[in-house]
Amino acid sequence: MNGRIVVVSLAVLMVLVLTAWVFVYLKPWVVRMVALYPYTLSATFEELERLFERENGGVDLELKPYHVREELYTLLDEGEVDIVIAEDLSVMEMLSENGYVNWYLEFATGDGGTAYYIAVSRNSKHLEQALAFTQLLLSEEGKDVLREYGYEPVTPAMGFGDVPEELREYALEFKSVIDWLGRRVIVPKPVKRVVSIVPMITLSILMMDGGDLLVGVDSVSPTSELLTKVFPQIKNIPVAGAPWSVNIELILSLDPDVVLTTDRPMEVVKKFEELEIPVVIVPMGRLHCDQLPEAIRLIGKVIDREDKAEELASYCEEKMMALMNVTSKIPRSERAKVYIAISDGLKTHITYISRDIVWIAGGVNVAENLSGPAGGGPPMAAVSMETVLTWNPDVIITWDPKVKELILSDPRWAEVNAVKNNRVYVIPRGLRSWITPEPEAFLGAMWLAEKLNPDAFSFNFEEEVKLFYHRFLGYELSDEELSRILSGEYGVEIPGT
Amino acid sequence: MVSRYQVLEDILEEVRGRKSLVATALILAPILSFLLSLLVGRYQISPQIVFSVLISKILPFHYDVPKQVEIVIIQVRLPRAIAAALVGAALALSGTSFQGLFRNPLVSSQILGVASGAGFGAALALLLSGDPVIVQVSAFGFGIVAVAISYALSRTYRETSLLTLVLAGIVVGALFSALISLIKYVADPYEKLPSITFWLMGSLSAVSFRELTWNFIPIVVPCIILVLARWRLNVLSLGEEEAKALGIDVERMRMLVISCCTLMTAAAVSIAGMVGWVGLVIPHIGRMLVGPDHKVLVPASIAIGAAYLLIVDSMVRIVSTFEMPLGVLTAIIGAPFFAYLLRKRTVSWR
Amino acid sequence: MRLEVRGLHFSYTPEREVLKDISFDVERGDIFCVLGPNGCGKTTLLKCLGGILKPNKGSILLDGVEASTISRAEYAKLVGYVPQEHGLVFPYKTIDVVLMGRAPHLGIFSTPSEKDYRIAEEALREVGIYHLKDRPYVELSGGERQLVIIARVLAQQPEILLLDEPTSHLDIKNQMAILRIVTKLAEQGMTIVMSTHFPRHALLFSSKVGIMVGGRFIAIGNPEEVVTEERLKKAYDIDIKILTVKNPLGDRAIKVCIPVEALSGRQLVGGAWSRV
Repeated sequence: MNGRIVVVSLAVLMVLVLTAWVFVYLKPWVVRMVALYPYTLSATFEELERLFERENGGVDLELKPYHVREELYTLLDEGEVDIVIAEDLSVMEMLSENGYVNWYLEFATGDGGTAYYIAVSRNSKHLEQALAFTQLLLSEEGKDVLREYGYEPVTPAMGFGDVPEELREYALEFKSVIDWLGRRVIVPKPVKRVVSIVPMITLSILMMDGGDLLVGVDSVSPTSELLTKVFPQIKNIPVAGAPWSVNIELILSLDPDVVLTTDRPMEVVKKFEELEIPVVIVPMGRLHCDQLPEAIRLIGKVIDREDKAEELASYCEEKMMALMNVTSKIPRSERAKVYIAISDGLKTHITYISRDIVWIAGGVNVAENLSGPAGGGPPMAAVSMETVLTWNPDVIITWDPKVKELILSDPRWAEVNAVKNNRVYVIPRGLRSWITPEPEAFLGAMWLAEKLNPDAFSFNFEEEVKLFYHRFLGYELSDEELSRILSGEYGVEIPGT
Repeated sequence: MVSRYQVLEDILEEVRGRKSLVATALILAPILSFLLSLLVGRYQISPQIVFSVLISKILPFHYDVPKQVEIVIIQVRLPRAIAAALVGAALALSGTSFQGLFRNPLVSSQILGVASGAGFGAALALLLSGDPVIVQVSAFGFGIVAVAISYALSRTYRETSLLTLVLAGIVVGALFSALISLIKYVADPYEKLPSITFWLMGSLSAVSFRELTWNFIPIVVPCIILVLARWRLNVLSLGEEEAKALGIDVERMRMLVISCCTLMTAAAVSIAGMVGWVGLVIPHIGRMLVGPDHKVLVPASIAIGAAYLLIVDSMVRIVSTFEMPLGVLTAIIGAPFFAYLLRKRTVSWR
Repeated sequence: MRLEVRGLHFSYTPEREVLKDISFDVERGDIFCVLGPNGCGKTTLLKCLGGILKPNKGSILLDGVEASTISRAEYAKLVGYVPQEHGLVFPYKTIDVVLMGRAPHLGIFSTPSEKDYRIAEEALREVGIYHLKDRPYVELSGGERQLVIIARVLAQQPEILLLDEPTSHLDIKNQMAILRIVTKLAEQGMTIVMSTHFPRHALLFSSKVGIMVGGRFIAIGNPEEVVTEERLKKAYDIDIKILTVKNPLGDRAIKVCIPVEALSGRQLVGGAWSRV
């Protein structure tokens, strides 16, 4: 009898002890959350943990510090992780690419400009609590803790990716873009105020329906006659200058989300960086033809017109491929020798694009081995009459009708093949000349292909141009405008008139 | 004291002593450099063919060459060589005249702003039209306008003093330089700006007989006038008072020299663009060779200027496929030489 | 040639008249010496006479002909001017400098002929520096330069010669050389107007003296009568004694001017006396 009581009591006691142990130590109702963070933040996060657990009874935050980013990846692979803190945007981008996280926030900066990011794992089973911790981190309380430990909270935090509803009040959304030089540039998302100080970039933006985002434009675009017809609003947009003569104060006053420019001169880019104006570099002027679609995609990404940009870029690629399919089979020796005549006829274009377009069109640019002055020099070279006579080009394409007239009236040119065979053509000019590095260059390539090999190509070119303007600029070209484009008659208006 | 330039000095002394030798050299130099400049170029033609074609043009016999070869010799090289000779002579002569007139060996043909004015005229025309004819006319016109403004500004006092004239020239030059910058600022950097830049650096690559016919008279006529009036430059270089005491109508004489120099320089600049240093350095070379007497110095400057530009332009043509700017090369050669003269100033002036 | 000046006024700026009512005559073969302190207007007067400055009022008559009616080239054939200072920038040869005196005789488009060369060489011989013919002018001494400029004015063959302090900056030998030439020219019939600082030169070499103070003549006339101790004091503002010295080589007594300070025992630097 006694023994039974003892046994039962013992059993009950054991159960009680077991239960107590379970309750005291295992706490099955407590939510357990794992956060990975760089060990340098240990003290801060221990403080935050206390704060969090005091306010959120029943949640147990487990802190796992890591020392190097490889360790972070291992920890992520090993087990469930709810919250990730990282010291570097590139880490977050990597996690984002690999599907660990959908979004991340920059919440603080530390010594030497280190930026700190927080993200909640996409697979987190404790989404609500993880978001609650993030909210705490972004709240005034959390910021006080950060300040206490010598970090500067980013207010509002900068959000990247699909930032959840709960956090939107704490964060502005941003995106990071890698520009042509590989610089990472952080720009607001969506971009609302864009400044472009390079005409070719301005045109690309217009062609991807981004005209309404422009708050400042280059000094050249508003002088293009056709452009002011296609996009009349350009007259009302402040002129921000050009890369070498940029109006920094005006740009500051325009409060742009991003400035698109080229890298020459680099001092201007540095200036923008100093002033903390996000600046994306797309060096349109010195791109190869096949790089243009990529540049267009990049611009599209910056101004959140990815779809339109893709459409434009693939249009360019298609046209290029269609031409190349035919022309790449033409051996060099059989290609027509093409000379591009500018100004007084003895200046020629030496940009990549002017060589590429001739090549794609099935010719070869006689001046392809000329290189211009290095650096930001003019994209032109001067040649002597004798050099031209030595080249003896089969086809001359001229920058404008005046150059053609000049060449045809000058006895020195009379014995050049192109003149003898009446193959001097004026390069068409739409928004800009068709051999400048902007999407219209591909129309230029088609035009030239037809001139060089009339037998091989027979597309309905006029329809094509109208379609291009309709599709990318929403503009219906009249027949008169079309014929002016093709005859190269569209001049550039004189600034100020 | 043995100067490190002693050797050169000795040679020059030697040369100065042999007047006829110097005279012969001065006559031959432009002729030889003219022939040289007809022989060199990118288009390969043997000297024999060049001369045969040239002679066949003068003497009535037929010489059969491909049409293109003939074009290269007659339409391309010949006008270019003539232009180089004319421009070099004009710039050197106006430099010499101005140095005499202003009694200052440091002035050049550009002192009254003619080059800046012409540069502005060309830049403006390149911006607005681009037609080479208009560019030339505009360069010529604005070159003259610039000097006219300088002269008018300095006339605000009772009479023109040289100092106010020089100051007015500097002011006008600066004004037009600023206007050039303004045009470069507004010019489309992908289309217009390079043409303007090229023009401003100077080149003879586009010269044809058409340009020459227009500019022949404004260069040659003032040239003849100055050669005839060259001895008066000696008297003018004594200064205003002494020249007056020697019966010279200083005001009118100055006007004549300035008009002639301006016409020549404006025409030269409108053909060749900005070609610096010729008008500054050549007079000094001339003085080293034949002394300061303008009676001899003026023809010597013409010969040396023509030869110098012919040789530099020949170099421009050979050096590379693309055309090196002429103005750049004349400066690269002229500036170090001038630096030497500055160090050794007793050679040519006190 | 007779030179008459009547009521001449000149001012650079309207506020200050530099020459006030100047009138005098100089006859052919006369040496008219203008004495006066620095800044009294001597140089300005000579420039007016030389046609370099235009007088505001008054007339200059050459043999009765109004100067302003004569063309500049013609005027330069009649009147030669030797400036006090002349800066040459270019190192012309001496003969070239002298040749420039032929300018009024040559047309705008002519260069000097053989004849002009001979005249220039003759002028150099006349002043005794023919041997310097091919030397650069800038390398010559001060005295030689002055002689070159006088040779130049001789090559100009004028009838009236204006000399602005021709003896300043020169040593005694050169002073005498110049004055000898001037006297000879006067004897040949040239009319000479010369400014000087040295009353002694006026007393010894001139046929007529004018003492100029503050832009006007206080006296004009015979040197013996005009150059008095009172007038010199008025002109130079120091006490000057005029001593009559027996001429050891002739009968005529010579007058010498010496500052009283120098006589009163306080020694001036030795050489300074002879200059006064």
